[in-house]
Amino acid sequence: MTNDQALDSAVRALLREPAVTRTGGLHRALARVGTTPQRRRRWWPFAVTNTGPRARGVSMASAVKFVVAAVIVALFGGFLLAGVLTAPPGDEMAPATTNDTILPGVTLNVEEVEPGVFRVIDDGERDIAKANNTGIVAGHDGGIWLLRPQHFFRLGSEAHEWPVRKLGVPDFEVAPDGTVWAMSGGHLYSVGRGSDDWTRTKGPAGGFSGQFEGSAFWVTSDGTVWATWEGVVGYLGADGWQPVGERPKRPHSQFHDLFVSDRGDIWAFTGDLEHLVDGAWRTYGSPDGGWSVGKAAGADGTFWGTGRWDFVRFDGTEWTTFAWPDWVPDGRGTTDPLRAARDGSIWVGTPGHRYPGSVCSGVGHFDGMSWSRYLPDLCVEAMDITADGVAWVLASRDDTDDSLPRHVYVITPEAVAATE
Amino acid sequence: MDSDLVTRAQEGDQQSFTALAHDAWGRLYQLALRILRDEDMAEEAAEEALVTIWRKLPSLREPSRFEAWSYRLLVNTCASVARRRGRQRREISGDMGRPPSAPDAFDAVIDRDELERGFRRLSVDQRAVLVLHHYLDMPVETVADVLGVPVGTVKSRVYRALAQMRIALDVDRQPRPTAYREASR
Repeated sequence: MTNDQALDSAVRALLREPAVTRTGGLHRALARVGTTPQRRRRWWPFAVTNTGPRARGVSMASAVKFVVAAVIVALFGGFLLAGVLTAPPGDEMAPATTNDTILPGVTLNVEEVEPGVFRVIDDGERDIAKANNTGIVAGHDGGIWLLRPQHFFRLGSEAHEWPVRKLGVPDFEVAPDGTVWAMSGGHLYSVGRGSDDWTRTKGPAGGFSGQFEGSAFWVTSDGTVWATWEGVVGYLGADGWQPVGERPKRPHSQFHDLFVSDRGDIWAFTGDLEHLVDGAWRTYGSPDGGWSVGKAAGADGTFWGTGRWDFVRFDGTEWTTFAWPDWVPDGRGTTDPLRAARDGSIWVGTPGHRYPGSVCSGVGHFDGMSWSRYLPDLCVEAMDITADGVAWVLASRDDTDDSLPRHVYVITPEAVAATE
Repeated sequence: MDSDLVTRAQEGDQQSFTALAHDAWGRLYQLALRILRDEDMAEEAAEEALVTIWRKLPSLREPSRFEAWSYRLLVNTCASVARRRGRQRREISGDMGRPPSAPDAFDAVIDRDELERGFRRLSVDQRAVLVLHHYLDMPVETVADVLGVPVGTVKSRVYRALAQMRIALDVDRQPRPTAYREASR
């Protein structure tokens, strides 16, 4: 190898060193986008002089409002939060230790922050409370999985920790056999138990690059991996990808979200809601104000979606609209994540500052009749529901500040029963 | 990248832009991190780039070119952030036209820290071409298209960047006189 080749290879290796993707800047950028006007093409010079000062005035007013709001939140919000979150959980009281009540077979050191609601301190092996957790998944293997900047791990057992691919924080799901599936940058990877080697999934036969390039994926409770690619929904079978529904080529044909119920109902999003029935897609429009980020599919095949003003349930034939409770702030993107429990109830998280117009308002549970609210001042980063109805929540006091810890909270069915 | 999402975002649809931003963030951040070699600066640059992309999106004539266009804005933002942070490259001494070192000087394994120091001494423009070419595996023609410069300029930046790194590595390997160490603090 010549010197030039050696240097070239060394530079290539340096630049390809894995690095974790921070996401705080993304949330700040999206918050800024909410108050930043786009620079329109100006076809007529007089329009510039007419709209310029006005545009600047609006921008300045928004900036002033933002600063005033920030000061108020800093003064009063911090005051209120201090009593709830920074006070010790009890004078010199050691955190309670639970075993087999929240997570079977796993001993967790927890502290109770509300009746039936716990904050996880550690799992006997790892400090959970102070770590920079970024994702949480209730795996189909019965475990609770956390994603950190460097690795995945399963609470309580599986001392083995899986390193994360270089392309940052992926979406991930866990199959019944413990295989972790992750999508990052449109590519689908998997790593099995006992292995450190991520396998990049091959694409469908005849694909352009040979590698899978898609936009969303889903793992059902029987371990089947579903995904979308180029307007197609299909599953990964023994002989590769098997398409089950291809959307006719037309504008907005790319799927962004995918939900597959345990009984095989397939819902996908292109901007509109798409439902695959007997091999044909049925397309439904959006509620008033447009679809929000939060969407979910129940085990019974029901679709749940959030809009600007309310949220809806659709069972394939009939739409039902529900009003938000007072504490859910108005505006797009103010409820995310949305998760459906097996008993038909629905859980919502409020993401807080990372979406324009949103406010950290905690977690809500809706049983079809009434709402319950938990952890009311926290920003929900991620949430998942186990098969037996326990809500696992990753939340912080400010989801735009990466320096704050993201705690893991557990909302038990006992807490739900006590408040409803 | 979904051109329809880009079109809708161009029309001011923030929800579409949010989807675009989530999709693009990882690439922008990783690119910025490799150019700037600093997590805080990379996050700042990617954030600034996203806001700029939103502001200027209506001026993008071909939605299918969104990705390349976003890379160009990101590289420009990286240069701005580097200037703002006052961490522009330090000029290093050395004759750029001198022949490569003797083969035995590079037979040893190239030390990673030396390499890192050498890379940090490059200008943002030089780093950008190396990152696009070596990290994203873009052909020089594509790099030229992304950066809006002639192909010859890209080739020359790659050549000069590698040559400059070689000099930096050589300088690092030479014992430094006391006076140099003190002066460089």
